[in-house]
Amino acid sequence: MMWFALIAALLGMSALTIIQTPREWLKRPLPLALLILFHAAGIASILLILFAVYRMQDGPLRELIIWTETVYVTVTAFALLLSVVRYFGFELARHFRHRRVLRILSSSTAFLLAALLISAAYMVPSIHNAVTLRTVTYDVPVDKSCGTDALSVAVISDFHIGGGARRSELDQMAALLTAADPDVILIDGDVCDSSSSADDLAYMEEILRGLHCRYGVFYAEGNHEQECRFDPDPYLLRAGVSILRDEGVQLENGVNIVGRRNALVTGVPRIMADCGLDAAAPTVVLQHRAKGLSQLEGIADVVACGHTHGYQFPFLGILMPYQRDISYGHRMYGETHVIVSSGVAEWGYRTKWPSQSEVTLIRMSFKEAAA
Amino acid sequence: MTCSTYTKKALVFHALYIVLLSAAGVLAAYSAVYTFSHISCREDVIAGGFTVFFALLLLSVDFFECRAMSAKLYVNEDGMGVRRFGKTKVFIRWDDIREIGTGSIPTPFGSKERVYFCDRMLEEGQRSDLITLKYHTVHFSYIPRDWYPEMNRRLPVPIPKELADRYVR
Repeated sequence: MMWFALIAALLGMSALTIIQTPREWLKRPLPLALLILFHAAGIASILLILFAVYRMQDGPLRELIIWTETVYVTVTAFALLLSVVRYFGFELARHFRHRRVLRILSSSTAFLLAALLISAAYMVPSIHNAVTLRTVTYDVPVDKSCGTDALSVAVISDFHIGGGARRSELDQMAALLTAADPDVILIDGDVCDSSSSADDLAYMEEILRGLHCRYGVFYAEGNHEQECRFDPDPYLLRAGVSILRDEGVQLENGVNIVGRRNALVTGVPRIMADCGLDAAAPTVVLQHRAKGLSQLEGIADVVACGHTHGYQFPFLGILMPYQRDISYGHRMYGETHVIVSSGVAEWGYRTKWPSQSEVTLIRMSFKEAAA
Repeated sequence: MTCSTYTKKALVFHALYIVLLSAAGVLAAYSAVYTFSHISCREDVIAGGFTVFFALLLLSVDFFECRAMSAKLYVNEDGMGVRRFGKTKVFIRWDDIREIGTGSIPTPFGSKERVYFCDRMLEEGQRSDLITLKYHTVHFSYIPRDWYPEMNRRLPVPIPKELADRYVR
């Protein structure tokens, strides 16, 4: 269902762009040929990413398809946006009878140049943000005590390995995690999607196996795992990752780690009761989507989420109140700290702005235990 | 006598477009308010700014669409003109009309041809940009068939036959 909606949205965007193409371009052979080539390559790359890339080896052909799609989606989206801006400018210029502005706005060449220029200006920082990882640190005081005075938790999410993260991004992630030296690592879902190949998952297994931390690596599922052609569980288990599907564990230092299924149906108190966890101990909840967060107030001390990719495209902020409680960063719900990671990679197209790909490090400090 | 500048088919299409634009504009405006009342990082501010821009853009385009749809052509004993939101925007007196011809108006997707009535003789270059002319020019996309005899009776210059064949509908 989601696939159909996605394909319909992308093809709808292409159709709108084609409809708005200036008629004079369609009358000349060279612009017409370039237009056909642009749309054919773009639409083919979208379909290939959804239905064929998972069969391909990591290599130049797959990269070409993914980058073609990235450029196509960006240019098409900005051309569409620009056509609305142009319409608005045109009406204003007509109202004020401004001849020069009308001439510029009527020019198809000026429109094409502007669309390309804006797309390029957007793509330079956003491709950098997508493929260059950084570590973002949050200091989180927790008003509870446990067997330690501090715990550093690394959150990594949204690999979307294949179409999203390439091997180089996973290598960067491993280097950042080694430098951060966290006590526990949490993987917050969407490790794979429809573009992930078996080779990609094997590489992810290799990277995850090489991670070392005191209390282990835990995983909660995301929404894209269900469309993955290869079950990621065996790869994760072989890498030594503990899978938490509406389950919880207590670490040696007394901190609870609770992992929720993507559907977020079972409540955290129920999961904790089922797993025999101490409700008075500091609790970290790992859930993919940043939804229903106010219900965790007073139950969890820290909630780590992924899914949103921060703001992968700035206009996605428009979906904010309808899809999620928070898109990126840190927010308090009562005494509960909610932290949303922008993820290690991105989905659909390799651009990310204003957020940047990241490894999230949560440094928890606890109240001293009474003597 | 008044008539809409849109055909029935175009009216349905534009009404749907306006409903969609209004819904999207209101949802985007709500998103902008929500985002700015829940700021927690720099990224929220940037995305909120884009959402405000998007909401304003959608609502402005919606306004222009409503304005265009409200446009009515009219003729009376004094002259002819265009009203928008019930207010007269362009008007020309019968006696002032010196030239009837065809020219074009620029649009974002190429120019569109129009029949015009002007209070002076236009030069060739002026006919390609009927909107920005500073003097009285009323231009129509078509002349309603019921108006034609009345217009012909009142006009000081006759409507050329080939023009009438193309524009009287």
